[in-house]
Amino acid sequence: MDEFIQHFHTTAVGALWPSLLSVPIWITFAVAYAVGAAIILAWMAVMALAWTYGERRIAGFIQVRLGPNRVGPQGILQPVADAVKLLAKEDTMPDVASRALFDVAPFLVFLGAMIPFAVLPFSERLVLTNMDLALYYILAFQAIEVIGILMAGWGPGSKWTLYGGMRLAAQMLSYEIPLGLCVLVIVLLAGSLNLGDIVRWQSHDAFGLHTPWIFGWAIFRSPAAFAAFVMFYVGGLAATKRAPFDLPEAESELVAGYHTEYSGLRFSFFFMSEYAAMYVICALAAVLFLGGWHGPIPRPTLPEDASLITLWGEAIRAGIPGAQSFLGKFALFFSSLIRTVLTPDGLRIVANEVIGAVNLLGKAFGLYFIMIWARWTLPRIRIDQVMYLCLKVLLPAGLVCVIWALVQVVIFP
Amino acid sequence: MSSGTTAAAAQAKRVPRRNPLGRYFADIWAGIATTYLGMRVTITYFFREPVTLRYPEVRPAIPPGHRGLHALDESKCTLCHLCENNCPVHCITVEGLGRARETLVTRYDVDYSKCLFCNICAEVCPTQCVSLTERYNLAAGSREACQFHFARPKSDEEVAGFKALLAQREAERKARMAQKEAERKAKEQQEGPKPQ
Repeated sequence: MDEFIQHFHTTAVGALWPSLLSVPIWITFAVAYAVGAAIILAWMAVMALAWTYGERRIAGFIQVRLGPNRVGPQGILQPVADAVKLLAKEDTMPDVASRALFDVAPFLVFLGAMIPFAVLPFSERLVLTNMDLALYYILAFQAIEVIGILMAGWGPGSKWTLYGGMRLAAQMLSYEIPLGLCVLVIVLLAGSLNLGDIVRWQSHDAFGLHTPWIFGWAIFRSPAAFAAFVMFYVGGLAATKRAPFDLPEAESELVAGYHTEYSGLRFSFFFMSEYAAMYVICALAAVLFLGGWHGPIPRPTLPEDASLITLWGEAIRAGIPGAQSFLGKFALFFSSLIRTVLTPDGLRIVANEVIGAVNLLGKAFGLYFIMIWARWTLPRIRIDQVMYLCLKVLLPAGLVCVIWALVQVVIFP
Repeated sequence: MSSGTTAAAAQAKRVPRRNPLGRYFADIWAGIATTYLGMRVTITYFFREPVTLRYPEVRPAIPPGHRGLHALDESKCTLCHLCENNCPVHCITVEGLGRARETLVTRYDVDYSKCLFCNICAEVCPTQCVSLTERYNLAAGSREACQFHFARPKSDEEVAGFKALLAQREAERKARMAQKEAERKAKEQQEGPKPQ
């Protein structure tokens, strides 16, 4: 994204309004990233709204009922009604609460859920930051959410929230390590921490052979990667506090766990971050193990340096002599974008991105569905069973997978 | 279910081995097998037709013989008050004029806050003018709304007319009686006094 902003700043905008070139580049960056953050926020909200409806509907079908179907056609406006209800609710705080912890906790949790979106790709070029340490960054900053939940557990001074926070701390200690090992398998095989490079590795030929269609995906490249995928998914369930690992918010034991004392908008922050974190885990699993945007739908081939921004900049520069007035420049700014998209090259780039996004989102949503399916199937397990599973089953198995991946990398470089 | 399921279940329930390592792997395998089993069961339910009835739009089929709201055929009512007297919860109030064939039912009220739909009123009715129908949604918001009036409202003229009719019948009856009495007396006089 950085190169794109730079490029856009100097060619497209700079050519139209030369006075803007004197503006410091960091302002351009700040504006661009603010827009990106707004898009991510909107995406998180849409995810949370759509999947609360999806979850309730799927739960209904699994229990041979209908689920919400009264508000709007097929009940699709139910999440809007829920959101309005949440926003209109009174914001309560217990008397004994520790004010600072109570106030900060929901925002830290939300931040922890939002940060991974900065590097999470939606398609080959639809990524906010193309960071070389993206994978490390996601795993590291997800821990912010855990701190927030510990604060939410301690802050309100309630025993339910405290138990929820304690359980989460124990759970976090157990799932983080196998999760890291599973990711390490892919890092070893692909030789990169950059999510884009990992997906590009999955589209390339395996063992010097041409791998058609989906057979370049990591899970087909190595048995270790397949096992790591399953373990990553189980660890991801624990990381997102989903059933059967929903001990921190076990409603039959702890009322609502760490968010018992929160209501209204603060509660909705917890709620949204939970669904956003689920999406992050699913999208990450799709990117790391299921080929990302190289999906079942084939995409048109493009030259490596094809870029819509470059084409757009060229179109703007070509049109500049004809547009001198302020309005004319604005018209040129947008009309050249439309004209660029409608050229064969532009269309190919757009098709490439759209199909890539459909592939990636399809896989992520499929994994999301399996999460919901598992929630309405499996009973909650005890905290000692969670730790047994993560530390005594997933950890050794993860180590075996890492060793296998090492051997594979050494033998078939 | 199918044989595959029972095999997996048997696998899952297998007696733990004495060897700790063997037990460890048996545990893991049991976890995977039972998870697979559960997930398989729920996905079949996912594709099943939901049993939920979208109530106000789709109504359930009421079986014949359902005991719901009362129905009254007041032209047949003889005002015998059997239903009123036999009601176990005294929820029926009957008022009217006349008797037997010629009646005017001015009031036939059922208090649905009391009624238990036992069907006794319909069973005891000699002319079968009371019955329970298939109408079932009888919820009401107030106690007054629970009072159902089955008798057709009668205007004052109608009641007055029926009273006049009754009075006329009564007069006719009295005339008939008087005539019979006169005939009997005439006969007595003809035949002379009965021997004591």
